[in-house]
Amino acid sequence: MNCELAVELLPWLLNGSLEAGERRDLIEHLRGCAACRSALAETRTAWEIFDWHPPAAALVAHAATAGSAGGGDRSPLAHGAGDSGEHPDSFDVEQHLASCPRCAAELELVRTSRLLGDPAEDERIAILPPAPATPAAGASVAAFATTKVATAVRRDDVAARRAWRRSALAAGVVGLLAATGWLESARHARELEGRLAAASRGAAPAAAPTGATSPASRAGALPAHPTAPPAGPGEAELGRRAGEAEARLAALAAQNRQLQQQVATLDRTAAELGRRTAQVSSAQATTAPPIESDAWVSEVAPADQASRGAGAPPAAVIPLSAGAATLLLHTRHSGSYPRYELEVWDASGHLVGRPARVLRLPGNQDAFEEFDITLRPGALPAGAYTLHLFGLSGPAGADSGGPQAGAPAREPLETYAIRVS
Amino acid sequence: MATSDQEVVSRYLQGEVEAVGTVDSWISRAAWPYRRRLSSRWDDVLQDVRLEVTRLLGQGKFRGESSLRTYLWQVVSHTCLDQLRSQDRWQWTELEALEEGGGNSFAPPATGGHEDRDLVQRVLARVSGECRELWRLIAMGHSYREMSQRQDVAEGTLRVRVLRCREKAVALRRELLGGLAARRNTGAAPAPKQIEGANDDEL
Repeated sequence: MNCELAVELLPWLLNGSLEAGERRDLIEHLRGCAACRSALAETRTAWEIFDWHPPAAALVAHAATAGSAGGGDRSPLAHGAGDSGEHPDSFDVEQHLASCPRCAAELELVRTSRLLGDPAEDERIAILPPAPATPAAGASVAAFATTKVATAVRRDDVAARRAWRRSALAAGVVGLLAATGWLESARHARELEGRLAAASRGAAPAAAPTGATSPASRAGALPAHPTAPPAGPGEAELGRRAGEAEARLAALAAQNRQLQQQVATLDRTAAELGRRTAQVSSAQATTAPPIESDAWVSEVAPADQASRGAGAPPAAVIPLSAGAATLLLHTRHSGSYPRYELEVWDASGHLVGRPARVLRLPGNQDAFEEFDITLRPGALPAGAYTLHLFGLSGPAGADSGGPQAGAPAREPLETYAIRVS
Repeated sequence: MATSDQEVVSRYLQGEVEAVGTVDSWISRAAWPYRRRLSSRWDDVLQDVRLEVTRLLGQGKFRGESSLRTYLWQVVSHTCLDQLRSQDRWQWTELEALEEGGGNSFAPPATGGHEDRDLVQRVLARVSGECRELWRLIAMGHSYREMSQRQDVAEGTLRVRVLRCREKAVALRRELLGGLAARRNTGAAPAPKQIEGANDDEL
């Protein structure tokens, strides 16, 4: 590799995107070339310049001033970590944000955090167990659905509850199978007894003339007729079959006892599982808001991904028996709107409702953006639904003010399909 | 400062359970949006925030210029953003070892102070938007092949453009640093320095 190519490749050596062979050759060249090592240091310097971002304090201050009229809440943060806390008067944060998706995403995070820090939102957005002095969440939530910024679901707990449910279900199935086996064996035993009784009734008349006592009746295994003891040519065969039947009956009885023991064990296990499930449920009830119980979390991809070559995603299915259902709505739409609106339409094309609040959760630069909404238990009857996500721009209060000139512009962003069944 | 905030701070520093619970709930609520990005580190970062809040309140840094809850939000956001950026920062350990062996300095230019940030801003203001976009794509991890397809130019052309941008940025920085040093020596008031030939039309 010559110096000209080596110097050209240095930026991609830094970002790690060179192929293995190129990287190996370049590093080998750098080891023996002081001029290119110097160029590497300059490339690193250029990287630090071009990859510069406003300090965290600048974004926080920007969010603070944007969120409070007149900057009344803007307070100098005497914060020792990293940045000095001084306000970024010497550069234009807005200008940087316009060209830097990463900082724009960070600002979204800060703004969301700011929103959650607003006491007025405490009653409308429930993400964590409320503060002791905070009134119970949910009083002003819209009748149709509760839209939350948070999943309101501690997913570990949800997973634990699901594991317990599956264990209890599995134990129930095993118990059912065992009970079925026990009933089948009992039925088989009764059938054998019936056949033996029929055989003995058929053999008794034939054996009557001999006056001899059959081996089976001598053994007391078969109900011998008191006045006409079985005798004759079929006696030996009958005795053999009676002995086999008796042995099978004994084996079935033993099997029956084992199955009964297993059923008893499974009953104990099921009772223990039920007790633990009740404990977990009661613990959940005491530490978490009611919305968190029986929560169903589902990630939903846009329905029109087929047109992007990704294949049509299946509709997210929400069990009708689920409690609160949290939908993580993925979108690749990178634009940012002051507000978002979600409409839920049923299969017949009727508008079912609009969740009260939709907030965006910014992801990484290459990750999906996500919108979390949570439907309260029983909010939707069984059926297929379509969710339309819109971005709203314009004055915040215009959407509730009627068809005046200040109505917000609404741009459709994504469409999602869900099914409640 | 609102009396209630003052009381909460005082009771928090005394370790009263109710005040600690109130402050902790405000911290958790403000930190929640960062949870996904911080993933497994979220709990640790939350603990760092609690320690930082305790330190700041203990030192009397909360002066009541905003509500306590807003102040906590600022501390939380500041700390979480710092953590996010530290985990996204590029690491060049192997290349640093290479530099140490070669005797060249690989130390990055300091951009933390106000003066350095101002210097970077002035450099960035004088390079073209195309340069900033090219290097933004590089910082995002794109290969030169991906970038050439995206820009619809030959790979060699793209590499040369990036090289020119790098050379210009470094030269501008050097010039501005020279002017800064001269002003320091003479004690003159800072004045914008126009670098000869440094305009966007060049690139």
